[in-house]
Amino acid sequence: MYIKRKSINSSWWFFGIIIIITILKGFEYLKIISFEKASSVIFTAILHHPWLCIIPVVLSVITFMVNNRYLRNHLYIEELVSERKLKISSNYRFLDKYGEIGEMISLDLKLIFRNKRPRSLMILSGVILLYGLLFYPQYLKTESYTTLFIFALLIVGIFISNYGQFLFAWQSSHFDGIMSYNFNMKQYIKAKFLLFVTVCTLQFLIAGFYGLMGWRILPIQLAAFLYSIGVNSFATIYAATFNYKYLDLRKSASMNFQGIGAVQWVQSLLIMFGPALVFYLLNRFFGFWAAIVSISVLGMAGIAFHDLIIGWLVRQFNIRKHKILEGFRER
Amino acid sequence: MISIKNLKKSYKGIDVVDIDTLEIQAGEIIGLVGNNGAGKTTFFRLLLDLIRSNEGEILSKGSVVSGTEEWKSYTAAYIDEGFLIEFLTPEEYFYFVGKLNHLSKADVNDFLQTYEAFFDDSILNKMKYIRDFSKGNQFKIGIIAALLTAPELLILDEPFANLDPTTQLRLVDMIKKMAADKRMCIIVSSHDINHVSEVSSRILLMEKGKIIRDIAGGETAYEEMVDYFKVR
Repeated sequence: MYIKRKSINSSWWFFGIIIIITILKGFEYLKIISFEKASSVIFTAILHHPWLCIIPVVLSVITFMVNNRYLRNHLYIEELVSERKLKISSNYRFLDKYGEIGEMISLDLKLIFRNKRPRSLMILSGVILLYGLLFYPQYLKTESYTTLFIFALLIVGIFISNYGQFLFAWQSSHFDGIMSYNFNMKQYIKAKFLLFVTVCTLQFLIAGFYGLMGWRILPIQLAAFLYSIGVNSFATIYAATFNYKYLDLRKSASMNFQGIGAVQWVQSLLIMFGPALVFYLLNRFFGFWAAIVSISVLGMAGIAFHDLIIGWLVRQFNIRKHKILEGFRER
Repeated sequence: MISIKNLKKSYKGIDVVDIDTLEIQAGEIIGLVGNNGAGKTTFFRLLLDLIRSNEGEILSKGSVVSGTEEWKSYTAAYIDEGFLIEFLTPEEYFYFVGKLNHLSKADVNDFLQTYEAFFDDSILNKMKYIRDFSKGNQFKIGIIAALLTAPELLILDEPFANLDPTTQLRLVDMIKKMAADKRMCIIVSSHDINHVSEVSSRILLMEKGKIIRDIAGGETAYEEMVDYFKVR
């Protein structure tokens, strides 16, 4: 309860706890400190000396008191709107030289870092980067490459599907403006694509360290990277043109399902398991390298023809433009 | 500048906008007047291709507005907060809009300096995001950003309603001056028949989606409007 209150106020708590659990799991796995053993020691002690029961009871009373005090102190709404930070105008210099497209990308970055919900998604993408620590070793040992590939897709491409499913909805509160400012839709969609490429590349480079666990990780992650950029990014943009729901940027992301419908669930399943199935079949019947090369070639084809695909996406967007606008105006 | 043929938009069988023909020339200041629900805002959204019409079309400088993008380069509008990017500071927002219209930061700063009086010291250097400003100040930001691009066609929805009296009068002067200096075409909707008759060179009275009167601006315009609105 206390943790829930705290985590509503700041998403760092939420992810902090996830990280701690991950690390503890990691220790467990590496047999450095075993919590299973520790807890069994505690419980057998309680069994042998029943009076030790008092300790958990006292602990829960303390928790209750801390919680109670926190709620009492935060009973008034005005006090919740805590200290007002001064907002400073900032500018991403390195994007300046890319003209309007650079300007659009820097707008997206500001959107991400200045609003609670997309910011949590960004942090989540970082946390998921750690998944490799947890899952890679065991599947490397059993040589289950398809499973490794699924995790690689997740690690390298999570930002694309997470941020991308609301690609336009993030801007739903000012979409009327976006549609009448002086830039054309092709630039707009291209800027979104380049944002995906930038973040995905960053994730790929960081994940490169997992190559230390076993060299096979590298080709698997490369295939996942190329596929994410060349296929998934476009598929996500296409799917986003069907998202007509207004979304409030300022609400927290954890356990928030606003703007998520059946379409989004099906979409994320397809994006993860579609390529995994292809990988599985190829790996099974033609071997590891056939799977890697085919998936990579698919991705590279998408990258090579990005101009054509973006043109098509713009036409798709324009077909549904008015419907999107209408949906976003309904709050 | 703008020519409209047989434009129709209806929701659930009710015509919200229904305009047979309308021609608007460059340099005109159009005052669009009507009671609530007359279809003014819907008409503006149609002009900006934010709503699809059921019938008819709008031509801007001779080319169709719907589905094209050329008009964006010379059109600016402020209808409501939906035109502001709420998580930017006003300065960032001005630079953003400026950049899209190929204005450097220095250009934007120069421009802002000339409109210092309009801001009344309540907008610049406040270190706040746009979402934390009052509605009136958000309106000022929106109007200035629309002017920043030096558009040939400017569309403002109810600009007087959300501004304080001083700023209202300043806006009246600004609109008049710009239309005269730059031959801009300005379309303003308003409930304030006083200000509208003062600014406009031509007044369109709207009722139930139809333009029922087309009045030339001037002293008689005010009386004609009072005449119209008194009856109901």
